[in-house]
Amino acid sequence: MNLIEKIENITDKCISCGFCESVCPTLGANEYNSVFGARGRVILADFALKHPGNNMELGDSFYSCLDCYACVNVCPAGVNAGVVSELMKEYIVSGASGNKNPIAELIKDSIIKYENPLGLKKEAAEWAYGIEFNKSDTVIITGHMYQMMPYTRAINKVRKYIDEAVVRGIASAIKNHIPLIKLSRHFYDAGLREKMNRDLKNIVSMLKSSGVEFDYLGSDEPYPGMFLYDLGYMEEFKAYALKVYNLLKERGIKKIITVDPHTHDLLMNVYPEYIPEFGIEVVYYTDLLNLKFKKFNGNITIQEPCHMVLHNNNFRAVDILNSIADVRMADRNGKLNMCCGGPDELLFPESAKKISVQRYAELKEKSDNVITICPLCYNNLAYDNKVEDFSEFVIDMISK
Amino acid sequence: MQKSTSAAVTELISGLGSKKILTTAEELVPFMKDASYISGKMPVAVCLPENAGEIAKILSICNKHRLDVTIRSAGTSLTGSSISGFPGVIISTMNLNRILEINTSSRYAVCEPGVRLDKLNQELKKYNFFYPPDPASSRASTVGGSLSTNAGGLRAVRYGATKEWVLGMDVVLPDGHIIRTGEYTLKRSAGYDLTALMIGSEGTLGVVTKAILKIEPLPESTAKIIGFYKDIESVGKTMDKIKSAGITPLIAEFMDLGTINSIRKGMGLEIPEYTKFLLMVDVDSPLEALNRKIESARNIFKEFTGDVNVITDIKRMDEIYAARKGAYSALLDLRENNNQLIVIGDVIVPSSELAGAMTEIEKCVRDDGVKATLFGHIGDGNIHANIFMDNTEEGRKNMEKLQMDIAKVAITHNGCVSAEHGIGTEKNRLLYEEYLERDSLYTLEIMKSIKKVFDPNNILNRGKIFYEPD
Ligand SMILES: Cc1cc2nc3c(=O)[nH]c(=O)nc-3n(C[C@H](O)[C@H](O)[C@H](O)COP(=O)(O)OP(=O)(O)OC[C@H]3O[C@@H](n4cnc5c(N)ncnc54)[C@H](O)[C@@H]3O)c2cc1C
Ligand code: SF4
Ligand code: SF4
Repeated sequence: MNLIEKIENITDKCISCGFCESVCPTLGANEYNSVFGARGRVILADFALKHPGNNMELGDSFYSCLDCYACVNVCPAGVNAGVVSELMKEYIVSGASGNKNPIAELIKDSIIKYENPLGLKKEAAEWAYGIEFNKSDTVIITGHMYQMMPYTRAINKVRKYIDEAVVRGIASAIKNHIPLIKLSRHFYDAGLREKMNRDLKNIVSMLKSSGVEFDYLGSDEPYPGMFLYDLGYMEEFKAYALKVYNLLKERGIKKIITVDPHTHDLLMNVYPEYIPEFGIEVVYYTDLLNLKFKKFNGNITIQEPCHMVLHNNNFRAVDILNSIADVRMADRNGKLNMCCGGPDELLFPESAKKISVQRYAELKEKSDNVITICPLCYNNLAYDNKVEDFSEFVIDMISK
Repeated sequence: MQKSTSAAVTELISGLGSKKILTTAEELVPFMKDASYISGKMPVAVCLPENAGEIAKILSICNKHRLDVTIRSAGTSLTGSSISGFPGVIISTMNLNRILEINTSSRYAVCEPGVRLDKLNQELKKYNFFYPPDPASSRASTVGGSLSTNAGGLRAVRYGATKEWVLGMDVVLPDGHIIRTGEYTLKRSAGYDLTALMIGSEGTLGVVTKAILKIEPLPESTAKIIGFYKDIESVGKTMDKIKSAGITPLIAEFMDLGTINSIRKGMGLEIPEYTKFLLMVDVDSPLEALNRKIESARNIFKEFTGDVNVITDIKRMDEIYAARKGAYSALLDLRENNNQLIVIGDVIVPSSELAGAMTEIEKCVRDDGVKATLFGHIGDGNIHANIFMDNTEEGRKNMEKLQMDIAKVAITHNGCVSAEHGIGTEKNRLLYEEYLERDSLYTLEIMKSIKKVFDPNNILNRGKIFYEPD
């Protein structure tokens, strides 16, 4: 099946019932402009493919999709507007229609050149200075996610004051002088950086206390290529993922421990799809924890990660939290989970902000203590210091 | 674009700002579809107002320029009523989406039109109350859309359709006037009932911007009784006897084998081999009397079938309710290919006529040679024929013939061509047929005259409800 057939094979099933719009976070965040909602994306994709040569600007509709998969979980016809968006980004990137997003282009070039979206591969390893790891064919792969949050937060703080067209202009300019991207190392939120590094250290410490032996590749750890995949650069992603795989193979890696849901989903489900020989076991760190916990004196609520609950990946984090505390889930939970808005942070910060504010309010309605299990969720929802990362919360609950 | 049209769009943009007036092709395309099989024309603009004042402004501009206007909420209409056959303006009321007040002692809730029905009920549940109209689309469909189509649902047998649940509303008329119909009171005898007139008017008279809705306490305790049958007559007799015995069910649904098969897994029931039909009845009562109520109903079931299941576990009841609510959706899996569409019929007959009408409808389906499954709300006589339509000229013709044949059965049994989905553009031919058959075409003329009073320039939802024979 070629790309167009793949897309039409999905969009043809849609009956335009609009059920998906009721859960699609980006629709409300864009004042019900349907092209930013799940049904609108499916209808637009279908129309664009059936009317090629039209001059429609397709980018914003599909790039703004959070890839959360809330839509498919309520769709009576089994249509996944998230996947339609992924494929349509590939269609746009192939030059078939619409304009490429200059920020996306910049990020792509940076990943290919520096193995990190912001050219910060070295900085991404700094958290682990001084930690002793084992010699092992099991490695922890951070995916650079915890490490990048302090930079995106600082960049977005600046962006708030700049017109979006100017931002896109700057992105185009940097793309022509790609080493300039490394300047981003000077823009970070120092407090958040310290916290994110601490979270990673906590994760390592809990795994060690659970008796898990593992290594870390340090500044050799490549960014796994998530943005290439998310932004539709499939040719580049394929080549890049193969490079990452070859590195892991050379190092004799048999098992990967992931610490964030995005990297987990990518390595667990996407890599094997593109690299059939990818035989490396992937396990989420919470599933390796073997610790005794105290009871938390109070209630908590949980922001479940879309890449786990809506993308059908199992993990034990929620069970662990249930065993520790009185958990009060938000009305939208499990298969109706609402995304934190995080994936829109780089390209559509306004939309991301509105979604996170709404979700934060929904969570706070249930409990003051909000636990996130993904660095992106934390970064987007931490409007007060009662929002904590799983690692932060759980490490304090270990019985001594 | 005509000169006056582009002048109107320019005025809309200067009046509301470009963020609220969409004009680029990619933004307009999604508004060419609703949940029907019909495609609309590309609008010249889509307006995203936030309040009644902005809607009044939009309507005044469109009225001045005689520009067609289609009103739209969630766009789940099955009859093409929220898309337009003309390249005009679409007004979305989705940004008016606040629940303004919940008053449990006076038993009302005040909502804006873009509130989704499930969202309203989620809120009301916190007070142990609910808003009864429950179309199967309630996850997405809204207060505005359901008022305008007089939506029904599974609970209509007990609570009636939407019209029983609306006390009053604010409506913006095409000339920009904002009027109030009805009040916060449960009773009112005060001239013409314009609230009733607005309900089911499918966006042809004005834009609803606020609604005062009646609410009910949640039933204290409930049970679900399910019987399996070889023939539809016994289903009808069971139902007649239940109602005659003074039991008014909360829900009373039947389905044929095709429908049962599509939701078999979701229901999770042991289904006897002989089964051709299933009857599902929910009863309620104060907790201490529930068992007595179950026994009376079960005994009636037992007179007509050997296999009766009683379910009292709330989780299981919710699962079966959800499976039945998803029946239309589940049928999508039975499509032979992606291009096949399911068109859903919506006739109704008095419930005592149901068994007879069903037998004739089954014959129509056989004679017309079109694949269709049947389910419906037996308590109120509403039969949905789900017609699998090949998306070709011939497929469409076959579907239209079957729809007309079924409509004629309903009309001869003193029924109506649409129970709850409305007329839109899809059923205006059938509605015409109904009044023609009753020798009362003048009723349609009166309706048209009323429309003229509200909308003298015929800008609102032109082409909906009224069929114009050549
Ligand atoms: C899977 C599925 C199952 C369904 N099941 C049922 C069912 O069980 N029972 C049932 O009754 N219906 C059912 N429907 C039909 C449909 O959902 C209902 O008609 C629903 O009430 C429409 O609500 P909406 O918000 O989507 O309105 P829309 O589709 O947006 O609009 C419907 C009509 O209302 C008008 N309108 C919308 N908003 C306003 C407003 N603010 N002011 C004035 N006019 C307005 C529109 O012009 C249009 O004529 C189903 C549909 C689907 C797709
Ligand atoms: S829920 Fe599914 S079938 Fe309905 S509009 Fe969305 S994608 Fe289409
Ligand atoms: S994946 Fe999420 S953001 Fe994208 S269309 Fe589906 S619900 Fe909307």
